[in-house]
Amino acid sequence: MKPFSYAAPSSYPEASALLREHPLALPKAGGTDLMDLLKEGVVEPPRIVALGRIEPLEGNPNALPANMTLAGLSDPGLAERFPALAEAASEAATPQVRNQGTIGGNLAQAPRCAYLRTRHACLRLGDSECAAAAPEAFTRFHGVFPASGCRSGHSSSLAPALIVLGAQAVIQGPKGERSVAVEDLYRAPEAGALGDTILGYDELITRVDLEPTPLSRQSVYLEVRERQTFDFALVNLAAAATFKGEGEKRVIQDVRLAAGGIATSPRRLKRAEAALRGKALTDETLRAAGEAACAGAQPTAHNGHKLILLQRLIARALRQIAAGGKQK
Amino acid sequence: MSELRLGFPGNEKRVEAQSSGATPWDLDSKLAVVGKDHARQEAPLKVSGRAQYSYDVRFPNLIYARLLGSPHAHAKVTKLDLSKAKALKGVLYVEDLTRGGRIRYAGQAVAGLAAESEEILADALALVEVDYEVLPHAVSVEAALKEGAPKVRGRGGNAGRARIQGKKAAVNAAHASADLVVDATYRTQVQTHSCLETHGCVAKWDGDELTVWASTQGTFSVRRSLSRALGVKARQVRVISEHMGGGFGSKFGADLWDVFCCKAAKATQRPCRLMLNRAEEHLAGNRPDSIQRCKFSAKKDGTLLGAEVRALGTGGVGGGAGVFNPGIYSFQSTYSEQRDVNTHASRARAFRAPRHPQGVFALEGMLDELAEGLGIDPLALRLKNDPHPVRQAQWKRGAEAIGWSRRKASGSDEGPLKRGFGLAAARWKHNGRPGSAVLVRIGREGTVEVRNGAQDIGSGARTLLATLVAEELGLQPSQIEVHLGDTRDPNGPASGGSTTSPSLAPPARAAAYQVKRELLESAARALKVPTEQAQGWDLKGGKLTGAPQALSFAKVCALLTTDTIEATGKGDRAAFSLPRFTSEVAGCQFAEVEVDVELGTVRVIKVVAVQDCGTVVNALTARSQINGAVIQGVSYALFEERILDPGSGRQLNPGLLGYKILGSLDLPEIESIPMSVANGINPTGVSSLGEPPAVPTAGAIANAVANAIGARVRSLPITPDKVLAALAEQARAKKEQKK
Repeated sequence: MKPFSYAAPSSYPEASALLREHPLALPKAGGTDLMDLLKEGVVEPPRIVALGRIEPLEGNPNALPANMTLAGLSDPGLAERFPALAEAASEAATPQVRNQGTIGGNLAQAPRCAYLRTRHACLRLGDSECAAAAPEAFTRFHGVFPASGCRSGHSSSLAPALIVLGAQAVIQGPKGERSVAVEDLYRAPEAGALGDTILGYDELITRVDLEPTPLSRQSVYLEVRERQTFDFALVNLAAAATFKGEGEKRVIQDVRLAAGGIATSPRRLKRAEAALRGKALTDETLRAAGEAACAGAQPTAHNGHKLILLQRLIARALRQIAAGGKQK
Repeated sequence: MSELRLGFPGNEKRVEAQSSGATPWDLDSKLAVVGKDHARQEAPLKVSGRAQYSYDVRFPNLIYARLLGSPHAHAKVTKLDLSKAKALKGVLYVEDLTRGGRIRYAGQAVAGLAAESEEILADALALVEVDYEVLPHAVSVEAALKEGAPKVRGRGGNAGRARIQGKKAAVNAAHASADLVVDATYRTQVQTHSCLETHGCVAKWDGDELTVWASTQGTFSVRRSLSRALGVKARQVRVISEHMGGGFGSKFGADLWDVFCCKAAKATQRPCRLMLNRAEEHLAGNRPDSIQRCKFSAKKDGTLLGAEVRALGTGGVGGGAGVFNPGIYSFQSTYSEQRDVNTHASRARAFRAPRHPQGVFALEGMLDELAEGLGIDPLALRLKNDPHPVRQAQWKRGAEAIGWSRRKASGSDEGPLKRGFGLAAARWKHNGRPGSAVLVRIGREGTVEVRNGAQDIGSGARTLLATLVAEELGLQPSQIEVHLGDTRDPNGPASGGSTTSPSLAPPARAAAYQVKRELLESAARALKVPTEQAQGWDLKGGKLTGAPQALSFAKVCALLTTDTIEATGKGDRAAFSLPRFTSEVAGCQFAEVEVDVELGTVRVIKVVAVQDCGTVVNALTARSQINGAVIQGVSYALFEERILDPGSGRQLNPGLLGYKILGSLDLPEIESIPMSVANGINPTGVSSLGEPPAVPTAGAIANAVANAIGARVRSLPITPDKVLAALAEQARAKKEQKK
C-alpha cells in the first residue's frame, strides 16, 4: 500500500475543499470496498478524506443522509413508503457490510469487474485495452450493454430502486450544493476514471431526497444471485406501477423500471415502460416489455442468461405489484 | 480364540477371531460411553477464541516472510535482482527461488523475503526486479490439447499416458445386448482447498533445535520433510499443531514457503512467521477438474450391463486428475480410460476423497439417466444393483428420512418453483493403519493423561481418544486429559485417507487396557491380595468391580506406590488383522431441492446423509463430521469454482467474494445419521469417517435438480446460467420431437 495522508473533516464543504487540494484524493465513507481497492493496489490515492465524522442530517424522514448505512434503511416506515428501497438495502451484501456501507458509497461504488479487480488491462485504470473484451474472456458477471468499450455491470443495489422512486441526489461541491435525479447521476465510463458518476473529483453526495407517492408505495425490488450469502446480483430490478380500471379493463397507468448488473451504470428501462403503459397486464404485454428492455443488448458467449433474467424479473415484478406487493 | 458377532441388527454374522489383550468390541459389547454424544473437549477454547492456532502464534521479536509470485503463467526468468529490496530498511533476509528460471503457473514463487513488519515486507516485494521472457500458456484441458499447444513440462504432449481398466470388447458386447444405452458427457470444475486457516507456519530456532508451529494435517510428515530440506536430524525438529483451522489434503508436508520461513528464522536468529494470504491460498492445492464421457447400458428390468468412461482432467502442473467412475454398482462389465492433462496452473493435491466426488457425480447422474429412460424409480435401480449389505439397509433408512415417496415424475410440479429429490452413494476403504502409538498415564491423584503426537484435523480426535480410554477405565470422557499435536509425543498418523481415528483407536484402547491391568495389580498388592485375583477385577462406572471392596477410581489410584504408571499401546499389524464384516465403508445421501425454473436458481432444502464408520465412538462429533462434509459438498455442487483467465492464466476470483463458498443463507437442513456397524477389523471396530460423506453430496443434488426441472445439468457447479441453458435445450428438443 502506498503511503497516503488521511483527513477526517466534520462537514461536507470542508470535505469538498480537502478533495479539491488533491485531484487524486478519494473520499471514504463506510470503506467496505475502498479498503480492498487500496490493499490490492487498484487505487493509490495520495489522500483519503474520511466522511465518518460528519454528523448525519436529522429531521426529514424523506431526506436520507448519504452517510446513513444500508442497515439504517431497514425502517418499517420507509418500507411502507418506499418498499423497493427497503428491500434493495436488505438484499445487499452481508449484515456486517450493511452495518458499515453507506447510501452514498453504494451509489458511487467502483465496478466489480473481475479483470479490473485483479489488475488486468483496464481502460478505466488508464490501460490502452480491456482484458474483458477478449473473445475468450470470462464474462458471466459482466453486463450486456457495453459503453465506451467497458463491459462492467453496475452492482449498486440501491440505485435501481432510487431511480424508480424518482429520488434526487444532493451534491456538495466547492461552490455549494446542487441536486440531480439519481437517474442522471451516472454517465458513460471515461478512460482513466474508475467511477461511473457525474461527480467532480471534489464533489460528494450528501443526501438523497425522496417523495412518497402512490407509485412509490407500489414498488418492488428483485434480484437474482448465484449465492444467497454475500454475492452481487447477476441482475437486479426495481419496478413501480399503478393500475387503473377494473377486471378485464384494468390497465397499467404509470410504471417505472430500472435494472442493475446489465450495463456500466444502473439503467432506466424506458422502452420497456412505454411497452407497458396503458396496457393490460398480459403475457403478450410482458413479452413486449421484456423484448424492449433487451433491445440493443450485446451479450457475450457467457452472459446471455442475463437477458433472460431481465425479462423474467420484469414479468415477475409487475405481477407481484398487481397482486399487491412483496411476496416471498 | 473368541467369537465375534459382526454386522448390524438385521444382518449379522458370527466369526472366529484370534485376539490377545482386550476383548474386541462387537454387537454383544455393552459400552457405557462409546457411541453417546460427548461435547468436544476443546469447544470452550474454540468458541471463546482462546484456542491457539498456528496462525495465532506470535513472539515479541517475530519477523515476517512472504514469497513473491510470478504474474505470468508461463515464462522464463531472465533476471532477478533482489538488491533494492534487500537495501530497504527493515528487510532482513532475501532468497532467489527461481531454480532454473522456468515459470509454469501464475503465482509460482520467484523469490522469498523476510522483514521486520508485514508493511515493510509489502514494500520490499514491490522493489524486487524480475525480467521475464513471457511464453504462451494453456490453462484449460481444451487449450492444452490443441495442436501446437505450448508444452507444460518435458517431452511429449500435455496429455499423459492413458490409465486403462477393463476390456473394451467386453463392454461393447454388454452394450450390444442392452435395451437402453445412454451416452453423455459430465464436467466438474477445479475446487481449491481454501482452508479457513491458510497454509504456513511460525519457525523458531534455539541453537540447532527448531520448533515449528505448523498449520498441518501431518505433524510427523512436516518434521520429516523439514529435516530433509534443512539437512538436520529429525530429533532436532519439533512440530506443534495444537488446533487446526482446516485441512483437506493439501497440508501434509513442509512446503516451499515453510522451508523458506525456517531458513529466514535461522539466518536472522529470530522467530519467523509465514502464513499465506487468501489469494496465495488458492495456489496451495486444488481438486482437479474432469471431463467424463460416459456410456452406460442396462436391461429393461434395470440390470446394469456396461459402463464405459473416458475421462480427462487437469491437476495443473501436477497429476491426480483421475475420477472414481465407474464403481460401486454391479455392472456386467466396465471399461475406463483416464488421462491427466498438464496445464499452466498450480498443482492439484489430495482433496477430501480424491477422485470420488467428481466421479460419483457422473456415475450417479448416469444411473439416473438410465432409470429415467427405463421408467424405473432411481432408488429401485440402486437396490437392484448395489452389492453392499450395509448400503442396502442405508438406502431404505435414508429414503424414509427424506420422504422419498414424495418424489414425483421429473419436472411435473406446477408453477415456477419445482421440488426434486435425488440420491447418490458413498464408498471408502477401512483405512486404519499400523504404526501409531498412544501413551496413557494414570496419576496417583486419579488423573488420566493420553498422549499422541498427531494433530486433530478437526474431527474431534481429542474427545475420541478420551472416550475410548474412558470406556476402558470405566470413567467419563471429561475425566481424561488428551494431548495431541506435538512430535515430542508418540508417533501418530498423518490425517489423510480418513486414517486418524481408525489408526489411533486400537493403540489407545490397548494402552488403556494395559495400564488398567497394571493399576489393578498394584491395587491388589496394596490390598495384600494375590495379584492373580486381580485378573477378575475391572473398572466400571468409576468403581473397582469384582474385588472385595468397591473402591472408587480415585481411591484405587491412591494405592499406587509411584506418582504415575503408564503404558504405550501399539497399533501393530496384529491389531488390524481381525476378520471384517465388509471390505468397504458404505454410505448414501438423499437431497431435496427447490429450483426456480424462471431464474435458474437452486436451493437445497434438505440433505439426509447415512454413513457407516464402524463403531461410532462419539455420536455428536460423528454427526458434526458428516455435517461438514455435506456442507462442503453443497458448496462444490452449487458454488465453488476456480476461474483462470484464458488470456493471462491468472485467477480471476482470488478472494472469497469471487471464489464462492457456501454461506449460512445457503445452508440446507442436514440430517446426519452415523450408522454403527460392528465391522471387526480391529479391537475397537472404529473405521474411516472424514472422507466418505464428502463423496455423494454433489451427485445427489444434481439428481434432485434433474428431477425437479425435468432437464439435466451435467456440469458443476450448477449455476443459474446452466440451469436456464439445460431448460432451453430441453424445450428446443421437445419442439424438434413434435416436428
